[in-house]
Order: sequence, then structure tokens, then C-alpha cells
Amino acid sequence: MPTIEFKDVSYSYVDNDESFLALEDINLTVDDGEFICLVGHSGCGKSTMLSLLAGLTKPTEGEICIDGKPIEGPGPDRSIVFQNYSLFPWQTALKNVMFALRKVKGMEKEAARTRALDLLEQVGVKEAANRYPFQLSGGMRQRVAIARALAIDAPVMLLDEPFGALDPMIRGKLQALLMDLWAGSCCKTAIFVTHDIDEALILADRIVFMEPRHIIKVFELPKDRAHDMASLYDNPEIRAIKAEVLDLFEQTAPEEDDE
Amino acid sequence: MEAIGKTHRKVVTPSFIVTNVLFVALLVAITIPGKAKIATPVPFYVATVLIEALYLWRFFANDRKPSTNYIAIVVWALLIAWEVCSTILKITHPVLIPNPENVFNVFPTLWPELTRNIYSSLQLVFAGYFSALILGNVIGLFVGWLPKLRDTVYPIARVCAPIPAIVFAPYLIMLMPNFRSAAIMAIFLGIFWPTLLNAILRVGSMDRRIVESARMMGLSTPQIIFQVFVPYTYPAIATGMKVQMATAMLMLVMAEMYGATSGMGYFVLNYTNYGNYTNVVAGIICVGLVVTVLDCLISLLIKKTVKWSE
Repeated sequence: MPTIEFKDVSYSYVDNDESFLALEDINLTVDDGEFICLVGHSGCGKSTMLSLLAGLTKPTEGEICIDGKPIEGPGPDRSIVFQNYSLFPWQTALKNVMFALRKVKGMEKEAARTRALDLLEQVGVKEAANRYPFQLSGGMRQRVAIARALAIDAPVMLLDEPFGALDPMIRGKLQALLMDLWAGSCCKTAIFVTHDIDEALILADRIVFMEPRHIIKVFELPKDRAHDMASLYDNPEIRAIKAEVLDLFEQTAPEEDDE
Repeated sequence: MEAIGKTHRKVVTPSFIVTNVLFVALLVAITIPGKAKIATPVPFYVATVLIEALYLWRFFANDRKPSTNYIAIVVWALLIAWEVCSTILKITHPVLIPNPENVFNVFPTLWPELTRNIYSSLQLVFAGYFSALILGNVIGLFVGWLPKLRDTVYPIARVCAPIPAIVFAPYLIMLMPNFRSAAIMAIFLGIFWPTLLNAILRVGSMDRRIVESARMMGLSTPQIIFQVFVPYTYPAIATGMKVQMATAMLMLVMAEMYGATSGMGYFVLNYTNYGNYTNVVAGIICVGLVVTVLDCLISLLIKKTVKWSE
């Protein structure tokens, strides 16, 4: 049964009395447990897709359904990891995760503490449990943010360029962490926004390529491939997909590349 | 970052020796019979010893920092200069510059009058201070959060906040039914607008993703206000409390100099009118002490409760 369905979704917003169309007639179906990467240039609408899915903004036209029910607003059936700094800065790493467990799962304090320490151990930052976010490195913060998202234990996990601000070494480690989590007990549906092709090829079951406002192509990736940089490109099929995605990047590049 | 350990500085350094030599010098200076007639030197002795005790406590509690010595040296130098010029040599104006012995003697002799006035002042300060802080912050949280309200209130607050509240203190005393309500109102207005502005800006500067994360966890609006906005803005509120306490004292003393019949400002003004500068100087020292104690208490509160930054 399909979990997420975008049905003829359009989204426009008004800025300085001018109306902008960010998404136009988007149709996409994501199966239960699938790992989807949304890829494209900045401003192609991929983050808007995520925001709509989170329920933080509403589509202007069409609807998005999860298990057949339209999304009404934000809620704990979806969890989200942002690029940076969405942890509560006034709480320690442990308290951040505990807060989610207590609010969403209604856990008692002691049970929440035990579970939070478990989760922090899973993401490899147990020793930093009592530090505040400002005392953590960028990579550690994202690990805690992932632990918090796991604490919410939602069937759908939304990731908005979660590793975009990290240096390549740390980024690779966190990608491996995600793959470990997904290979283990965590088989959530994941929507992951990135503009890094390698990252998408490592993580995704399917890559959805977007140009401004539209989905132009969806790539199906072989299931039995390696999920790390070292051996990813041993697979000729992956090399072919990468070439094609790079080509699309080239074709859809904005005229003035000021990035 | 955690400190690895305290750096153990030496106790006996040149500045430490100078400080304590000056302390003894002051005691000697008080003991030398001077040209001026004085009441009793006992309270001045007591004050000197108390200052030395305070200095030693700060010196050892503050990891023997040399700056503590320098501060003490300045204090001792001023007190010695005061004692030598006014009591021993009598080269300063005998009325305008009272003798330190007499000034410190005011504290034990006028103790009931002083405490009554301090109490009266603090009542007004706290009434105006807390009402302005609470209202300013609560309204600020809501206004900062709701864009439509913010677009209306923020420009108004920006115009009102920089008007020095002192300019309407005399008018308020005419306007309000009695002095107490006028003084509270003056303190309130001096603090309310800056507090409101501060709170609006603080909420506005919050990363929207923090709120969005909270919304994704299914928090209701009141929960977001009390469990997200309040803890997020608290450090700014606490810092504001420190600044606004100074404003409150300023407004209070200002107001008390217009129409009061009690209070610290009244005490100083009243004795100025009578030309009793001994009491005036004692009153000024008293105001300084009260303000310092309040400031220390607020600093302690901030230190104990704000553990994070961004």
C-alpha cells in the first residue's frame, strides 16, 4: 500500500506583491519504507515539497495524502531533521531527546531518560548527553537531531539537507550511520533533500530529480548495491545513473550561476 | 568548556602587600588625632575592617586575581585622602566635605530612619519593576510571535522606548492622584517599553526551525509559548532585568526628589536642603550599597539559571 501520495500539487507564494509559483502539478507516489532523495538545483522546489509534506505550509492546489488521509498540518506522524540548529538550545542533548519522548510518546521521566540514552548511543553521542547544543560540533548536533527524530518514532522521516553544512569526512560518517539505522530495525519511509549527487546515490532507493516547479525524472536504483563511497561506483549501473543525473544538472542549471 | 583546574596564583605579590599596607595606614590615620572635631571613630573603624574582610573574601574567592588588589588600592587611597584632608589636616571645606568618621557614624545613629526610607523606596521599585517586566515580556512574546500584531506594535514601541522616562517624571507627579502611584508609574514607563522591544526582537530573531520542530512534535500553542518561547527568551529577559534595575533606581530617585515624603531620594534631598552634608553623603553611600546588592542578586540569579548560549 502506498504511504505518501502527491496528487496534482501546486504551491505558490506571494512576496513583495508578486506571486511566485514554486511547484506545479506534482504527482508522486512513495511506497511504504522507501528511501527517496529529492535532488535539484537550489530553488527548484525540493525544500518546498518537504515543507508541504511536513504540513508546515499548505498546497495551493491539490492534496498530499499519507495512507489515504490528507495532511492537515504538522504532527508527530512525521519527524523532521533540518540542515542546522533546530535542537532546543536551552536543553542538553539528553533533554532534547527526552522532551520529544515525553511530549510525543507520553513517556515517564525515568523511562524517557533510559530510552534517550539508548538512542544517543545508537547515533554515537552518548558521551555528550549532558552538553548543550552550543557545546557540540556540527556533526554531533546532527546526530542528536537524528536521535530526536528517531525518538518521535514516526513512520515518515523528513530530512532537509541534514548534512549540508558538514565537512565531507563527517558527512560520510553520518551517511553510514543513516544506512546502518535503515539496515537495522528502522525501516521508515524517508524523504531526503540534497543537492549532492553522491549522497543521493549512496542513500536512495529512488532519486527524484527536480527542475524548477516540476519533477523531470525519477531514477530507480539497484537494491543490492554498496552504500558507501568506496565501492559505490564499482557498479556500472550506478556510474551510468550518475552520468545521467550530472547531465540533468547541467541542462537545468540556472543561467546566472551565482552560487 | 570545562576548566581543567584552578590556576594557583601566589598570595603575596607586590600589589597584595601595597593593599594591606594601605589598610593598616588607614587604621593608623583614623587613630591619629586630627585638627577637626569628630563624634566617634568607631563606625569608621568597623567600616574599614568590613571593607578589608570583603576584599579578602573576593580575593580568595576570585582565584587571587591581581585586579581585586587594584580595586582595593583605589578604595583605600580614596578613603585615606578623605581622612587626611578632612579630619587630620582640615584643609577641605568643613561643611561641604564632612569627616568620614561622622559620615559612617550616621549609619548606627540614623539606622531606623535609613531602613524606613530604604523599605519605602524598595516597595515602589519592586512594584514598578516587576509589573513592567512581567507585562513587557508577556505582551512582547505574543506580539513577537504574531506578525500582524508585530507590524503594529513594534513601530510604536520603537518610538516610545527611546524617550528618556525622566522627562515625564515631573508631569506624572502632577497627573497621578498621589506620589506613590506617580513614582510606580514613572518606573513602569521607564522599563516597560525597552522590555517590550527587547522581547519582540528576541522572539523575532528565533530560528523558525526551532518552532517548526516543536510544531512537528504536536505541541499546542500554549505549550509552544511556555515550553519554547519562554525558555528561549529567558536569557534575554534576565539580562534585561539587570539593565532595567538600574533604570528603575534612576527613575525612583528622580521621582522621589520631586514630591516624596519618604524614600532614599527624599532622604538625600531633604538633608541637602538643610545643609547637612554628613547625612547627604551617608545617604548617597546607602543608595550605592542598595543598588549594588540588588545588582549582585540579579547577577547571581542569571549565573544560576542561564546555562546555555547560542
